[in-house]
Amino acid sequence: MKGEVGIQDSQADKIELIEYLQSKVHMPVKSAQEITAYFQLQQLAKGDILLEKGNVSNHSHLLTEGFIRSFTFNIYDNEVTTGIYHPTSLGNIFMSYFKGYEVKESYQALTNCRVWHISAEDTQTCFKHYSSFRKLGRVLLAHNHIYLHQRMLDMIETPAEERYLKLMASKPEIIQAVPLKVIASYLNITATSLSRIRREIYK
Amino acid sequence: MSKSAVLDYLKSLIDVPAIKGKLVVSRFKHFELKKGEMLLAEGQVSRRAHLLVEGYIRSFVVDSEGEEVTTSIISPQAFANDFLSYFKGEPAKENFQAITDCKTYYIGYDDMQFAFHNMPEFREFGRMILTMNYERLHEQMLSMIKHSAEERYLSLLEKDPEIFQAVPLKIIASYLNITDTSLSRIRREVSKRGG
Repeated sequence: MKGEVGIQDSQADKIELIEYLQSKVHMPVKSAQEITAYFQLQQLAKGDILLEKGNVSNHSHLLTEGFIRSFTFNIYDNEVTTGIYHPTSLGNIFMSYFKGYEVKESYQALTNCRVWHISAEDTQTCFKHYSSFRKLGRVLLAHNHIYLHQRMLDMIETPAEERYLKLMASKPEIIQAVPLKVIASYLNITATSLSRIRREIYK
Repeated sequence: MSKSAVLDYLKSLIDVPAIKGKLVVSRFKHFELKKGEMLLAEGQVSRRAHLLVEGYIRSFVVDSEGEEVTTSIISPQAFANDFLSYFKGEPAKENFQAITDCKTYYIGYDDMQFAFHNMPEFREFGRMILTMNYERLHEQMLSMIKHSAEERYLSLLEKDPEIFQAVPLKIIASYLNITDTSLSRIRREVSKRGG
C-alpha cells in the first residue's frame, strides 16, 4: 500500500476508478482498492491539452469520463486527428509503461474529462504485485493494437462512406459528442465530403 | 543458421536464465518457405509464431479496388505472425507471404502457453513483443501523416538498406504508400544528389 502522498481523492471518486478497472478485467476488490491508491484524479475542461507532443511523460493515463483526441501535424502543417478515446471504447488513451516515454502525439480534451494518472514507477510496482493489473496492461495494449490495426486496414480496405457508417454503428456516442471537423479528420475525409455523405445518408 | 539465433533474439529482449532460455528454445522447430509461398492467409487462425532468421516476409491486404497493399515488410530477427490471431484464436486479418526463400524457427501455441505459465520471464517477453508491434504500427501510421514520400523512402533506406537488395521495388512502393513511378523518380533524384 502507498502512504499518504499527494492529493487525496475522495472515496467516492475512487469507486468510479475501481468500477472502471473491474469492467475491464477480473480484479479482486482488495487488489482494486490497493491499486487505485496509486492513481490520482485530473479533471480537464473542454479544449485542455493533457499531453503535448515531444514532451516526456512519466505517467500512464486512464479515462473514466469524456472524450479525448490525439492529433499531430501533417507535412502541410495541418492538424490531423489520429485517435478518439472514450471510457467505453476498447482501449484507453494511453499506457506508457516505461519511464521517460516521449509523447508522439498531442492529447486534447474534446469535452470535460476525468482522467486518472499513475507514475511509470508505480505502474511497474503494480505489474509486479498484482496479476490482475498485469492482465489489465496486456488487455489495454492488445485493445489499442487491435484498434490501430483495424484503423490502418479500414483506410486501405473500406471506402470513405463505409468508414463513416461503420463509426456510426460501432461508436454512435462519438458522432453525438465530437465536432464533425474532428470526425472528418479522424476518418481521413475532407469536411465537405463528410457533409455530403451525411446529407445522402439522412435524405 | 542454427538455433542460437533464437536464443540470441530472446536474450536481446529479456533477461532470462540460460537454462530456461535453452528450455524454451528447444521447443522451437525449423521451417522453410519458398519465395511466393504463404505463411498465413487472411481468415486462417495462426497457430505458430515464426521467428524469421533468413529472408523477407511481407504482410498484405487487398484494397477496395482489388489491389494488393503491403502493410509491413519483415526482416530477419523478427517475428512474422499475426499475434492477435495467435493469442486470441481469431482469424488473421492479413496475409503473410515469403518475398524471398525464407528460414524460420516457430513455436506452437501450446508450447508458448507453457512457457508463459511456467516462466515469469516469458510473460515479460510476450509483453515486449506486443509493445514492439504496437509501437511499429503506431510509428508507421504517424509516418504516413507526418512525413513526405521522400522522407519515408530515406528513413527506410537508412534503417534497413538490405531491404532494397532483396525486395522488389513494387512491394517497397506499396509499403511506403507511394506509386512505383514516384518511387523510381525519388530514387533517381536522391542518387543524383549523391544521397
